[in-house]
Amino acid sequence: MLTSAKLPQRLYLFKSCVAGTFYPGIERSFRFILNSLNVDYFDDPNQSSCTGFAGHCGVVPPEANLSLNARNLALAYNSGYTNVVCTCPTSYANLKECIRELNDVNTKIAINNVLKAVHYEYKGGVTIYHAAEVLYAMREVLVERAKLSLSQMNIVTHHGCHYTKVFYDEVTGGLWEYPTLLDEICAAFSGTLIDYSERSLCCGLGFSHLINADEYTESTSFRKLESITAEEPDLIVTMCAGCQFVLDRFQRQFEERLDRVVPVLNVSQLIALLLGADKSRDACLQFATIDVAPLLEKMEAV
Amino acid sequence: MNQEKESEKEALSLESPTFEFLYKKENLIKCLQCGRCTAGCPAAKVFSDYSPREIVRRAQECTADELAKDPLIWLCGQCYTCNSRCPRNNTPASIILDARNKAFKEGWAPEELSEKASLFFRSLANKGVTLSPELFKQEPSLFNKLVDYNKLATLRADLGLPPLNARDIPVPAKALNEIRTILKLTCNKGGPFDDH
Repeated sequence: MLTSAKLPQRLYLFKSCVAGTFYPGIERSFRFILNSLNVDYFDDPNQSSCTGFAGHCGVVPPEANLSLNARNLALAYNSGYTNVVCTCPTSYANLKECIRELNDVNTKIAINNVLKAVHYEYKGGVTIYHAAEVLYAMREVLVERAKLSLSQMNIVTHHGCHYTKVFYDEVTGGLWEYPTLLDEICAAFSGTLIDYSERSLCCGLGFSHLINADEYTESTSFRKLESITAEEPDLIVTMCAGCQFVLDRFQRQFEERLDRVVPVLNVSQLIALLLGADKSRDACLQFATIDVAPLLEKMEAV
Repeated sequence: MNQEKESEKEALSLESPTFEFLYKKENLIKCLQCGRCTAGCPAAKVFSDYSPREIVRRAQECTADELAKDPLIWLCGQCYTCNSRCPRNNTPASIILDARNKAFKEGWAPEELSEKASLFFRSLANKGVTLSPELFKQEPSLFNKLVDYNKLATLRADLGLPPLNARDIPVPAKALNEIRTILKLTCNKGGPFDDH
């Protein structure tokens, strides 16, 4: 759990393969925000993906997952930037789970034997955060810097299962069954938050289900989107590129079955826009399937 | 280079560690079959024959091999709702994940999923990233045909981003060799790394 009293310094940015592929504005926006506040961070090209997407399909064995991430965590530790910040909840949960497993002495010895071959040693000493937790901790300063507000905006949030349901007792803001992390951030910028019936339901991604194109993704994402659109919000705010992919792209698929479409933004993109980021170069809104332009008109100058 | 080869040999010569931390019988014994996992499970809502409670019961009674061959393990969406709702701190999603790992290792995974999911594995070995735009050039149907590679590549090129890689800056060669070495050491013979 992260509060403003414990704002982490020297951040090690952990890359997201889904964000990097489909929504580059998520990572660009987060860096824009950190640059605006002169926060010291390290954008290390040497790290590997956390393997999470493939891991949940079952194709990457746990030995490989643990060893690659022990190397990633050793890279962060050796750099002196020991506060690892993930934009992806699957990376967040996966890295935390790896740390938990590496706390077992025998597992740590076995993994360090693998790492010997590439001249690394996992020593611990690293903390994992999600980018939304960092934004939450900085929200008061961010509001002071904001050029635009959300006062004319009705917003729903979706927090992402791998943030709320894996390490459910470590959720910042609210409880895992009713997380309010994103709600509290949006409320700080004067947004109006709306509840919806399927708030805690998975977006429908389902990893292997998205690949199989089976009923799970279509049925679950429709159930989720139907309950969101019924409340007629202006915006869906997420903290996961995978959830964003499903909620953004499947709305186009369901166009004839849903009464309306609702733009989807990652919380980093939203805050960067409020701080005055460029909508194309920084927030990369052109990558959205559902047009975000109507939203920009609703953002009022402070 | 020689030193690297020696270290690799040393690591390989160690008895292969077992990582059955996701499938611990002592955790399974704790299950009281209350069904809270199934009540909250989005996959159980979609597939009438799927129930995480039932998977845990099977895991208690059958062997790891039998569970890995059960087609029901591929119906879980890995959302971990079962993890958060279990009053005994069990994680049916992790038991299923362990069974899936075993299925991939033994060649029991469904063929189509195996082919497509192996693309992630190759991407990890070739680029250091699990997912990249290149995969949608190779396999346009990878994500339910929701991704138009040409459109994605154009948008990325307009921003000055590499059209095939998820990274602004590719993983440097030395780091990529380290990633490949780790994959070679940790993916058992018969696993997907044999393709390389």
